[in-house]
Amino acid sequence: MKYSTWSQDAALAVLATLREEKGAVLMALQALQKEFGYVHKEDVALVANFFNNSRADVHGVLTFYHDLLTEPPGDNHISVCVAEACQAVGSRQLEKDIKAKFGKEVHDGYCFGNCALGPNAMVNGAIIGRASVEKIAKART
Amino acid sequence: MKIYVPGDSAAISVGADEVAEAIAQKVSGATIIRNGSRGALWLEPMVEVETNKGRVAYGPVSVEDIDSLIAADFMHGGAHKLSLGESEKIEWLASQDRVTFKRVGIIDPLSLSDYEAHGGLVACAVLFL
Repeated sequence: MKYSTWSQDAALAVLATLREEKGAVLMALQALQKEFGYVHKEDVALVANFFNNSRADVHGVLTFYHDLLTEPPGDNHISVCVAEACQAVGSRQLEKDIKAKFGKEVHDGYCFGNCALGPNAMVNGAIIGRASVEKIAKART
Repeated sequence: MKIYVPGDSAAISVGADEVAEAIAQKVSGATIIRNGSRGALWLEPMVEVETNKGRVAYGPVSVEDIDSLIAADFMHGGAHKLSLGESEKIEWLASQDRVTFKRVGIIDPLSLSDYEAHGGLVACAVLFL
C-alpha cells in the first residue's frame, strides 16, 4: 500500500481536518495511520497538543489498540485473528507460519466478526475467511 | 436466468466476489443477484439458481468449481457434487421460523422493488396512502 512520507507539517494537516471533532484522539491516530501507514513517535505530542490532552492519554490510546502501528509497515498489512474462535480452529499455527514467511508485515488481529468462517485474516483491509498461508500469499500485492 | 451469489462480507471473505465474476463471464444471459447470506456460513459461497421448483442451491462454491457446475447444467438445477437441493428444504433452514431475518438471503438488500415485492413497505402504504 502507498502512504505519504511523514513530516510534522503533513501530520498537522491531517489533524486540521479533525479540528471540530470532540474526543478525537483515536480518530486522529487512525487518520494519521491511514495517511502515513503508522503513527510516528512525534505524533503523540502533536495529537496531545492539538486536542488539549496529556501525552500520557494519547500514549495510552496508541498502545491499547493493536491495530495502531508505531513502526512503518511493510508493503502489505496482514492481520491474523488470534481471538478465541479463530484460535480454536488453528489461527495460532497459521500466525506462526505467516510470520515465518512475511515477517514484519504480520500483526495480531482481534476478531473481525467473521468467527463462523475462521481462521480469519485481513490483508490490506480485505477479510479472508478459512484463511491459509496460500490464500493470504495470493491476496498480497 | 437468475443466479444468486451472496454479497455480504462473510461470503465475500470466502470468495463470493470471484465466484460471481466467474459466473458472469462464463454463463451468458445470467442475471446475477447479490443477495444477503441465508446464514449457513459453512456453505458459503452458496450459489442459488431459480428453477420451476423454486430456488436450488450449490455450495460451498469456489471459482474452480464453475466449469464443472456449468457442465452439470447448474443453471437449470442440474445435479453436481455441490448440490444442496431446494434451498427452502435445507434442513437447517427449513427448521427455522424467521421473523426479522425473513427476507435476508431471499432478496437483493439494495433493491427497493425487490423489498416491496416481498412484503416490504406495507406498513408505509397503510400509513401514508
